Amino acid sequence: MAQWNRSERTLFAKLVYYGPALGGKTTNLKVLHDLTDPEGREKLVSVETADDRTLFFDLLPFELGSLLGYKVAVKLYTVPGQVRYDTTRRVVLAGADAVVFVADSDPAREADNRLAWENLQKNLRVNGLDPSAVPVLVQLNKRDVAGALAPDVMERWFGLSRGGGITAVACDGTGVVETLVAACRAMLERLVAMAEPATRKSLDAGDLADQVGRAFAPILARCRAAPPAAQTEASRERLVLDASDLLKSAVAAGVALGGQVADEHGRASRLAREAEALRRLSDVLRGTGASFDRGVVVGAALDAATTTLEAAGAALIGISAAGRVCIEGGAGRDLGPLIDAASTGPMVARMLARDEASTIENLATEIESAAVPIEGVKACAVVPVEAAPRSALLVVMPAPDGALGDHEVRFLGTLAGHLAVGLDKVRTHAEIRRHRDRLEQTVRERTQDLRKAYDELRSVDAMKDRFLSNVSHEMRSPLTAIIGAATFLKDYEGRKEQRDEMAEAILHAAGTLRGLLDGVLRVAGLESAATPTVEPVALAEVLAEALRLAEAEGLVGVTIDPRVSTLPADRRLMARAIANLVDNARKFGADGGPVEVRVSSCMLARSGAGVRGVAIAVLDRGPGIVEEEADRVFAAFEQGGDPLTSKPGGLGLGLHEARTIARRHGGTLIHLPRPGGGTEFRISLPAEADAEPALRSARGA
Amino acid sequence: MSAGKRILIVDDDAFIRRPLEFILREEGYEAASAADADEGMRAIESRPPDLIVLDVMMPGKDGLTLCGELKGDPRFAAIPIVLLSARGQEHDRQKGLSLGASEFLTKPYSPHEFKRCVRQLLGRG
Repeated sequence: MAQWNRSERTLFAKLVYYGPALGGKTTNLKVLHDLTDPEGREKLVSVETADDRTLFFDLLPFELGSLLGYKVAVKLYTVPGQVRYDTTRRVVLAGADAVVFVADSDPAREADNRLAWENLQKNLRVNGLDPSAVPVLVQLNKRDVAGALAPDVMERWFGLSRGGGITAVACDGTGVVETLVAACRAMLERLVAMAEPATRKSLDAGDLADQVGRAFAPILARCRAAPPAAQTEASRERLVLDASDLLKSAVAAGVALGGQVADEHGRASRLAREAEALRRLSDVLRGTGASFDRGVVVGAALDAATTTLEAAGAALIGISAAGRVCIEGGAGRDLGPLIDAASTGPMVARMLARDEASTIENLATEIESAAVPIEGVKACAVVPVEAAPRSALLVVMPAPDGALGDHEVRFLGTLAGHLAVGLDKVRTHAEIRRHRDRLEQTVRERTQDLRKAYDELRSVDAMKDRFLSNVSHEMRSPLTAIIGAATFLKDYEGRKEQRDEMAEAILHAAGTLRGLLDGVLRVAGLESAATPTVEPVALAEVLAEALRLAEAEGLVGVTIDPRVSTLPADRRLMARAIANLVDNARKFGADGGPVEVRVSSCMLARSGAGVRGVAIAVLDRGPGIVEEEADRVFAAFEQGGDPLTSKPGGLGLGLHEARTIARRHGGTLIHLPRPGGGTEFRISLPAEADAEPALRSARGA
Repeated sequence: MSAGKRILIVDDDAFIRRPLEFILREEGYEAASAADADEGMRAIESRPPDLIVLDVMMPGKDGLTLCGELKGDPRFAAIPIVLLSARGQEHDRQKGLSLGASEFLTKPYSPHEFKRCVRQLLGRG
């Protein structure tokens, strides 16, 4: 029964399609469904038997749009055609606002038409519907069947005026919409007539026929533009229940379920494949993360490419310094020939030059002119890794069916990204390591400098200790003598000879002390003195002064090479150096024989070239210098011999002073064992006054 | 007093030896001297003194060695020895005393200190 809702201004109406079995009721609804719901939002609910019979009813809800100011929705029903479903037909018919009787034009169905018509009249009455009040329209369907009954014959039978029936061929859409339009108009006219006075007053005035015509205009237009074919049932989603053959239904459901399971299985295996690929990628990441070795990082990525994709081979390619494509690392087959061959090389180079991944489905067809340089391969991909320097993954799949689809290329892209990160990390690490090495080198050098400075300080410190020890030792004896002698003179009268002897002891000891003081001051002065005054001096003069200083005049044999008469030197300093050597020879070496001084001409090795020089040698026949003391003899305040038994006196400054002087003249002082026993101390000086640079080496210059 | 007590001074440095000789004679001792260990040994053997003064550092045989030899010789072990050294190191002193020396004087010592030491060792009176 129609429901007017004044507050919401809606009207729901019920239109029932009635008629003989297989007359085309459901076909009418299918056509309407296609037309009114082209998007397929609403479902045509059809409870159908397997032999195309309506079991219960069809139901098609659709909105007619705004009519008389109300939104009108119509529910279209069909009843099962077979008489044995009479109960259902009765129930569906209950509350109908109008009826469309779909009559079959086939002459063979005349009796069926009549039976159905009588059944309709009966059921209208059973449902309390006044057959004269409920509009019943008759559709003369199947006008296309051979020998169709004449419309007027049929109309007469149904008690209609001529043209009162609506002709239709429902299966091709003809007359379907026209039937609905007529039914809706008749139905609405009746509903308006039957409405309560208040409702009727709320309706907008106007020609109902016009409004219905306008509401159906778009549907009619659509129908004419593309006549629907009701046979294309599969094109519409329909909910179909097959009640007559549940087993068939179950089988169908099983088949559908099977299809769904297959889909799910496919999805699961795809997920598994992707999980495996991700696991490979994480292996690559772990592998590259654990290593800073470029070869290891590249190898991990290439292994992942070949094992995951089951590729024939993979390699990292780049551009060599010469501008040619080159290979770095590889897994699986050697892809070198692919790059070198004239048939494929330029192609690979072009692919490498691109900023995106590129693939070749079949190498053999790509290079028809020649054979593929590697046998048994098919597809090939080049996936960029880094832009600068340009590099890419080259992956080749095996024949006959190795393919590189979206999934594979996507995987290679991700892999290339990982590899790029890994390579960047390797470079950064190398950079850091270079910095670290430089830093370590710097630290080593600084440490060395510091150690040298420390050693120097320590040797200075040790020198100071030796100095204090020597000085205190050397001063104790003369002081003891002085105190002893002075005490005697003060405490006792003594005899004249005794007093003289004591005074002599005092003077002698005082002289010894003064000598010590001189030595210390000389060394101190020498260390801090300015550049010696070097000028040509006569050798004979220097030697004479040296022997006087050493108090060795007439005690030493002197031999001078006649070619050497002068030498560039500071006369006073050079005489002191020679005197010290003579003094040293007499102290430590004189026991074995006489001391000699020999002067000769010599060649000095100076930066590759020989320079004429003068050698001044002081020779003794002493015990010689043991190897352990070879260096120590020149250190300040060092003295040779057993401290308890050899007591040459002095502070141990002589040789140190002599060598310092030699060096400040650009020369050297060395000692050599002498054939036949003894030692030779030899000062070598440049014969020309060209020693300026070396003169500065002595101290702080 | 301590008259007649004989003291031998062994030191290579005459300028140290002579003032001691003079002072000891003035104090009433009989003083003799030797310039090295060998000469000293000969003097001791020919006529053992009552006290020996030994310089540690001498050319040839050093004072410590001679000290050890004398203390190891039953004939002379009882003679007190005074060591003189220009080296003040403690280990020299320890070594000297462990060898049996009675006293160890470091140069420069005062003659008064020396006299007191000699007096003590010769047990005056």
